[in-house]
Order: sequence, then C-alpha cells, then structure tokens
Amino acid sequence: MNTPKVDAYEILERITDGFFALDENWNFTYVNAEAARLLFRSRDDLIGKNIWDEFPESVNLTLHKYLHKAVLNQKPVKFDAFFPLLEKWFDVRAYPLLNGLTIYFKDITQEKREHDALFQLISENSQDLISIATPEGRTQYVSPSIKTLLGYEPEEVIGTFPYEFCHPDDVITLTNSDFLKKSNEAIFVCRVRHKNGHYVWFETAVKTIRNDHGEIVKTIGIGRDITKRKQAEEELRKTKERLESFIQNNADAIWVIDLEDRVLEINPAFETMFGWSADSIIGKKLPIIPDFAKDSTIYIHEKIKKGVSMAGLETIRQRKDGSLLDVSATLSPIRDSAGKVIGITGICRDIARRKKAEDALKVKSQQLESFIENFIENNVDAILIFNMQGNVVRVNKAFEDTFCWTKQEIIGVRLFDLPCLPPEVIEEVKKFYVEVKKGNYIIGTETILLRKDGVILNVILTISPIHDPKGNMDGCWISIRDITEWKKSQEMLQITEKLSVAGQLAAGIAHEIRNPMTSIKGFIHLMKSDFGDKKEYFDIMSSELERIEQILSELLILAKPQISKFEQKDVRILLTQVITLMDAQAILNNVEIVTEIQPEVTHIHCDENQLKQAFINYIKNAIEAMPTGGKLVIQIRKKENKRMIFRFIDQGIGMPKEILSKLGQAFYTTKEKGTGLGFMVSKKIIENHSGEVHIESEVNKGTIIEVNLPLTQENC
Amino acid sequence: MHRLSDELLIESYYKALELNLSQDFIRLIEKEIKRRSLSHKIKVSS
Repeated sequence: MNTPKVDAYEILERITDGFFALDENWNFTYVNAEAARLLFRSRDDLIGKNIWDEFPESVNLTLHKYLHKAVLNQKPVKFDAFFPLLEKWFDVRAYPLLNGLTIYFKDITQEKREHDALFQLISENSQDLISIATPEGRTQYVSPSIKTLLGYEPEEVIGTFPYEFCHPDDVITLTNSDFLKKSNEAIFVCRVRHKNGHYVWFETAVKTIRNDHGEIVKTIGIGRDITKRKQAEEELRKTKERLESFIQNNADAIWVIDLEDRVLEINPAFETMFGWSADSIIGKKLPIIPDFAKDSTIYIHEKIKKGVSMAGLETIRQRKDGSLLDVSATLSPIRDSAGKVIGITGICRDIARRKKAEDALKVKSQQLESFIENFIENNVDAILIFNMQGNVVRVNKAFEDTFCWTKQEIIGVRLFDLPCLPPEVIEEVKKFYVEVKKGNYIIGTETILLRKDGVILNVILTISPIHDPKGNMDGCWISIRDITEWKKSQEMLQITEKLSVAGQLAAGIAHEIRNPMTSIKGFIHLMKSDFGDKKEYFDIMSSELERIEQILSELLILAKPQISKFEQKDVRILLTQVITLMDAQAILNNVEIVTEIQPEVTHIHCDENQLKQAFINYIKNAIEAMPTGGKLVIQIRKKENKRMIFRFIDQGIGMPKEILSKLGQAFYTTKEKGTGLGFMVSKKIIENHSGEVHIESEVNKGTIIEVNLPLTQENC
Repeated sequence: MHRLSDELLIESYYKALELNLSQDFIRLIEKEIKRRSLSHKIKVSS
C-alpha cells in the first residue's frame, strides 16, 4: 500500500502546479515542493498546521470563501485569488474530499499583469466609454474618454451611480429592467447628461462578471455616443411618417403588390375608389383589373418587374360592384436595398370626370367644326381661303353666286391671278397681302371686282390671316361682300332725300301762290268781259295761268302726304276708267290702246285715285312719245300670287341712256309742255304702294314701263 | 284785293257770280267782304 502512495506523492512532487491537502480541520496534511516555493514556506513548516493560522490574511480573501463553499457543497471550485502579502495572483482549483480538501494552484501574476495592461491600453485609448461598476452599482472605474464624450473628469464620476446621470425618463426603464438577474449581457439605450447640461444619446453594452455562486462581482459597461445615429434615425422616422401620411391621405388610390401580384398595402383612397376594404384584399390578388384588360395588365406588370416605370397610363379598372372606371395609372417597381425589384406600386387617378369633359369638348369642337363649315359654305358673303403659298384652297357658294365662276375654276389659282381682279386693283390687293402676311387684318376696305360677265361689282373686302394652333401663319381668308345693290339704293336714297326736301319746299311755295293765283285769274276773267276786243290777250294770260296752276297742283300731290284710303279695287275696272279718260287724247294722236289682261287678275289693295293718277301719267307719256301715232300695249299679269305686274309698252321715240338716268329728277322734262313732275309723281305713288318701277327704253323703238305692285298692302 | 275800294269789291263779287267764275275766286272775294264787315251789302249767297 505504501509504494503506490509514495508513487502518488512522487507524481504530486513533479507536477508544475502547487499542491497541498488539508484535513477536515483545515490543517495541512501535504504540501508539494512547488507549493512550498510559491508560498515561500518550507514543507515541514506547514504540515500539521492550520491554514487560517498560517495565512490569517487569507480569511478575508476570496480563498476563504471559496474553500468553505467547496467543502460545504462537496463540489470542486475554480477561481482566481490575489495574495496581497505575496503580491501574486493564483489560479486556484479546490477538490473537496470526505475528510478534507486538495488544492491545486499556480502563479498567474504574469498573465494577469499582461491582461490588465491590455485592458488599460484599450480602456485608456478607446473612444468608447468603458466603465466598471461594483456589484451594488457604484462606478469603480471609468475610462478617460468620458472627458471628450461627456465633459466629466473620471474622478468626478467614480463612486457615483450611473443612473444619476441618466435622463429622468430613461431611469425608470433602466431601474425597472431586471435583466441582470437573468442574463450577463444587455444593451441599453439612454440619454446621458453631459456636464454642460444637455443630454447625449448613449448605447451601452453591459456585461456582468459573476463568481461561481452566481453573484455579481462587477459590471463592465461600454458606452457609445449614438446621438448622430439617433438623429439620423429620427429623420428617417419622420420621413417615413411623412411618406406614410402622404400615402394615407392621398386622393389617388395607391396600392402595393408583391411579385406574385398579391396586395401588400392599399390606402384609404383605394378603398373609396374601388370599394374594397384593406382587410378584404390584403394578401389576395389585385381585384381591380377587369377581365378584358388582364392580358395587357400582365404584360405591363412584367415590364415593371423588369424595372421600368410607367406614368400616366390611361386604362380601365373595375370596382368591387363590377362598375368600370377610367383611370390614369402610374406604376413603378419597388426595390430592396440591393436594388432588386420586390414588388410594384401603383397610383390610380379617377379620370372619369376628365374623360367626360374631354368627350364634351370633342362634341363641342365637332359642333364648332360643323358650324364653321356651315358658316363658310352658307355665308352670304363670298369667302376665299388661301394657303401659305397664296393659292386658293377653298371657295364658298356665295362666291360662285356673286362672281359666277365655279369652284373648279377658282381653286388652285394664285391670289394675283384671280380672274375677278381687275388690273387697276392688283396693286392695292398686293399691298393688302403684304399687311396680312405681317399678321395684320384688313377690315372692311372698299374696292371693285369683276364678275365673270365683266360687270364691275362694288365690294367690301375683309382679309384675315389664319393661324395654326401654334400661332404661326397658315394662310389667309378673304370675305367679299357685294355692295353693288346697296350702293345703288344708297344713291337712290340720296336722290329721294333731295326730292323730299325739294318737294316740301315746292309745296310750301305752291300753297302760298295759290291764293294770289286765284285772285289774278278771277280778275282777269272780270276784265275780259270789259275788254271784248283784246280777247286773245286774256286767253294767253288764262292759259299761262292754268299751266301755273297745273304745276302747283302736281307739286302739292308730290309733297303733301295725301290722305290715302287703301281699298280692294278691281284693277280691270280701274284701268278701263283710265283708258276712257285718256281715249280722246289717244285718238287725237292716232294712238291705239290695247289691253292684255291675264284672266286671274282681279283685285289689288290700293288707293284708287292715286293709282289712276300714276297710270294716267304713264299713258300720257306713252301717247306723247308717239307723235306720229302707234300702239300702246298695257299688260297686266300676276306674279307668284303675290305681286301684280303692269307693263306699258309703247312704240315711241324712246330715250337714250343719259335721259333715262335723269328720269325721276324734279323738273326734268323732255317735253315742250312738260312740268318735269309727272313721272316723279307717279313713281312716288308706286313707292307709296310698296311697288317698283322699271324702265327699259330704246331710241326709236319704244319704251317699256314696268310697274310691280304687291297684291296686299301690309305696311301702308 | 286789299286796295280795292268797297264799292269795286262788291261790284267784282256780283260780276264774278254773273260770269260764273271759279268758286275759289268767289270765296276769296267773300272773305275780303267779310273782313271789311260789308257782308250786309251783298245778298247772302247760298
């Protein structure tokens, strides 16, 4: 039995660790050589002695605590212990026996020193704040970086509790958290007060060091200033919120789908627009695509998935109730941080109203187009449209009617080659064209143009440039108003005006002369009876006076608005009476009066006496125009059941043009005995009946006087 | 007519009636007679 024991001790002597054994009373039973060396004691000196007596300072050390624990629990312990007396660190392992304890230990002072030096090197130079706290939480050590991070000197902080520096709001969460009871490591984020008073966001990693019994030995903290990161996070959060609010409150429907077309998110506008609630469609396929649009949509989605964006895509989408909706959609891919497309986002705008407005606009513009078409084609004024090169591209019907050239003859002709331009106005038109090319308008300028048969027409021209929608000149158009008739009637109006003034003057004079005339005439007659031998003198005086009287009475008819009584009269009777009256004079002049009256001619609404007077004048003129006799034909016929035409056709001497043009002027007469009022009076009467008089005459052939009267008098 | 004496005026009136001269003339003389208040000197004409 001894030998193995010796052998065992032999082994113990040789191991590099120190070894000793204790009995149940803490007395040394064995000490190996290494142990004696490490403890600076001889083996014999220690054997049989109590460990706590020999090393009394160890009682207060961890050694004492651990060894007791090992004995108590009958479990091995392992720990580092520092012997202040020896200024050495030992790595100690104790194995309890039934009647004692065996202890192995080795000197680890050197390693410890290196370790501490490393720790110091790190902590002294780290930009992070490294701190060590006692188990109860007091700060034991803090790295010098606290000066730059928080403004404190390390000495100011040592001995305080870290939470004294925390923001009051964060203290609660810190103290409430009981992480240290469960885990040895944790990360806190809290605000720490800077010496200046402001707070700095700190992220602190805390690690607790526990002994074998689970008790906290110390706490090491590594803190980092994360204010900047925090600010960035805040920014990001705000941006995200804004984005979120933008999506939530957008009036356009917004949806997000993944690559399998399943809905990830929709906004409230989507719910309103399409009638689907978020809950009902999230995770399902996008339900707003009508069947007929499925193929094209798949095609579009494929494109988006390849990374293409599409804006303003006008298409049709379907509501939950099946009704369709015109939308303008903008689709874009969503990418992850690596840039890979992971979904599609779509924005739909309801454009039904806009569509409607567009349609209305289309209808309007069509209306306008047809209006313009009508305006051009059916305008009473002739309209010519020219292109930029000055060629006619369009002519309306009024042009054909006014100028008698057909569209085919005019279209394509250059402006200055137009056949309706007389040579004398070409220069003028060229000037206009230059103005119009500058973009100016020529409005209402008067000139003359030719009709196809060579008749000169008085016209008013309006020339306007035509602009294309961009405002560039695209040609011009000319509107031509034929004012020939108007001019004629204007001239007539002036004559009539003159006449009316002359007539009133004459009537005034006539009226004043009447009484003296009567007086003179009367006394001449009285005298005539006394001077029987000079009778011829009186006859001359009488006839001259009668002539004056005749003029006066005609002047009075002309000027005085006769009290006219319009009645339905049978023109046949009326004419017969007139012819009877004039028969004597006709026969005297060898004139035969022939009447040609259409059967249906009967009554006309007229003033009998006035009309008779007019007819007497015409018949008288006709008879006087045929000094050698002849035939006077009087035709009466109806025209379109509205008007009655009277024609007095004689075979007389006729009138040359110059006389014809003066006809109707007051006191103009070709007859020796004429007053120059007869024709004028007749014309006035006819005009009072809303009628017209036309004269055709050829020298030595005869004259035709045509009177055109309405059957009914509306405004007389 | 104004310068005609009353007598000559009345004489002219009767003569005009006698010669059946124009009614206008006769009325003109009658008017002058009335103006001179000489109506009593002529027979009241129809």
